[in-house]
Amino acid sequence: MVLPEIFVFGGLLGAVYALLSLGFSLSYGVARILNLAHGSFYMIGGYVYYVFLTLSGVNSVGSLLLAVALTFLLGIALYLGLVRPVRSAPVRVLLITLSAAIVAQEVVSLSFGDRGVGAPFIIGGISAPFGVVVENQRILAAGVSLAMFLCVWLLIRITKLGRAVRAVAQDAEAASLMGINDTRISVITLGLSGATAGLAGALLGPLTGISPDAWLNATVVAFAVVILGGLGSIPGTFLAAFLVSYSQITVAFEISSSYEIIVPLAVIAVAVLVRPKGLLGRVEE
Amino acid sequence: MARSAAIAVLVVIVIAAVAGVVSYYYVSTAPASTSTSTSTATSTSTSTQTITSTGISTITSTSIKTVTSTGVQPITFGILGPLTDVTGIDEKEGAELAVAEINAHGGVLGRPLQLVYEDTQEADPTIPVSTGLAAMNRIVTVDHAQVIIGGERSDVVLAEEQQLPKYKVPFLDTGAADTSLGQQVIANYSLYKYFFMVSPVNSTSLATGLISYYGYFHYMEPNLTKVYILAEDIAVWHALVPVLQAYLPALGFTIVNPQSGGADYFPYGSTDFTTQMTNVRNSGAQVICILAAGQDSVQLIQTWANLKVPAIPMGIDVASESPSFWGQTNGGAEYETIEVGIGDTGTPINTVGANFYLNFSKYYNTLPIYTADGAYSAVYIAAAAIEKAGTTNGTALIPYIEKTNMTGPDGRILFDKSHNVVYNEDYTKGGALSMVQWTAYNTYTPVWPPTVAKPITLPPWM
Repeated sequence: MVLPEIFVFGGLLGAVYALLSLGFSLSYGVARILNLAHGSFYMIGGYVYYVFLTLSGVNSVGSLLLAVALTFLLGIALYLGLVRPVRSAPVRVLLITLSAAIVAQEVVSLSFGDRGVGAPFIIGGISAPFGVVVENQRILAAGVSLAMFLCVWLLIRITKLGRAVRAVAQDAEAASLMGINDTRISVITLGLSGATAGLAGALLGPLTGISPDAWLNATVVAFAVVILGGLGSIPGTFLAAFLVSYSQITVAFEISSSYEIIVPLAVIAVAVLVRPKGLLGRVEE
Repeated sequence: MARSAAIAVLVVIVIAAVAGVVSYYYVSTAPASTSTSTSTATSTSTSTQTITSTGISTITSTSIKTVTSTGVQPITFGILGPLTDVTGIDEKEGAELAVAEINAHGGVLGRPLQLVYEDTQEADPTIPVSTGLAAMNRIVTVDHAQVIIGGERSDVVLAEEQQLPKYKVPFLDTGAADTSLGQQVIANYSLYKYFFMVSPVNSTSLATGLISYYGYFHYMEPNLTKVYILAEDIAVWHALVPVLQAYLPALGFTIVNPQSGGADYFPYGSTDFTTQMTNVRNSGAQVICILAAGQDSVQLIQTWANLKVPAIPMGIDVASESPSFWGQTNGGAEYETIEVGIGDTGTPINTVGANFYLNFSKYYNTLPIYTADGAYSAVYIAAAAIEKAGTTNGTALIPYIEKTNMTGPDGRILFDKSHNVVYNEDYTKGGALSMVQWTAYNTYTPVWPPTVAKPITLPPWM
């Protein structure tokens, strides 16, 4: 067994999975929206980073910030334009977000072609933590992801806005009676959801390439992480992200990378059958 | 509700505007050839192009009507392929080059050639076979193609081949590699005689060429003997890997894969290759025998270069045949060595190949890939058959196509009983393959066959 490799690669991937899944968990936990277009923010974040960095001459940090800003706005646009009118009907929310994801894929495909694009790294070079050779970009992606995850968690825990978010998550009607604007909180949550996924796409895109259909795998991973961690639970999302990534990396190294994609799907099936509320979740539905 | 609808409309408009601006910017900054071909590929099913002394200009349907109004009915060839993918774009451009040359010399039987196009989208593995069949139906029944040129994905072309007894139109395949396509011709000649594979790209030819190269490489670099086989998990490579596993040890190589099957198969469309590259490094391999038909090799090669894995990738990598691969991998392609049709290398093996390479590069501002020289040859093969047969009747053309004996960019074009072009390392006796190494932007250096080879360059980290 190649333990150092599994430890290093699983940990680095888990950090990005945590960031990718955070918004998915928030959008359900706060706004009760199962957003199947969540992976689209990941895909669009990767493309925005690529476009500004390689075609517009914006530097890598600027491109990263633009990816975050644009996916934040797209998250808001998705909520106001498509989700809000049908929010009271969960099935219609699923259908409309799935449709939005497919439309986004087609728009990107028509603009940039079916084949993926690859953007240059923010930082080049390699390092060898625990003797495992790994790109510095991968370490940076994990570090930024963890930092962003921590920032969002602190935002939710200690700020006034965070208290409002938590209040809406616990009881939207009661929060509304206390003077909290439910719609405003949902708008911010969806924007934040888009921005975190977009950042994950911009960070991981240079390492994995980004293609119009990248949203699907990203949505499946986020779905698996959040189902396993517990819908709406931020600590559960964090824990589950690493469980999924370590499972995937172990399967890739010890069995075959051909079975890697099965892991998140198996996680969804097992979690739904055995523990529907997830590891740290409170909601069982 | 009205407010929501207004917001929804606004969102759609904003997204469309952003997409439009982005795509305009992308297209306007892309090479001229890309913008030309993309716009034509997506918009034309009834227009064609020609090459003038000043470059490529589009003939509109009006000018086609002008040709028709003179009383001379054009002969129609159909380009059937993934027209927004580089393989399909090259099919289209290779055919257009040949059509322009032939028309400049008076056409065929005194009639000009014209091209019609249908997009099968088959470069996208998620697109079903039925899309290709629908496109084939349109190109025959609506566009009235008298010869079909194209094909890329074997499962799609196999399904299209099944339709040939109904349409009775010659189908000159430029990309699909499955040997069963030709076996169908042998097994049921009367039904499938319309199918021809015009480039030496079937899996048997590819394997023969690759093994020959490995033998030559072992002679040139006798100390690099440890090979790691890394292949996409698709049928064509599952057929090829056992052949390599049988021949490579006989040539003096040791296969060092730790996997039980002696090969590392990764899913088609993979995006993360850190696991594979770590396994290569840990195995002590000095050579990665790469077998990839999809775009996934962009990330594979980029990861290989980023991690400075001390093993040189040498094999079949379809994505790497595109000149854009260098940019896609941010230069990571340097040192990768891949198998290509010898006509795509710029190696002057004959006048036809030299002119083809020169004109293609000049008019399209990019280098050709295998589908370009395949389509170029296909137009000449069909035109010659029509000239000799004196008709465009599909069934009547078959004996004349079978008797083809001409020089193409990849060498001599002859067909065997399976209607596959004959492969021969001696390009005066058949179609030949070559191994080329990426050495700079837009630059392949031939490293095999020995008659045209320059020394291979190893990465500095080996």
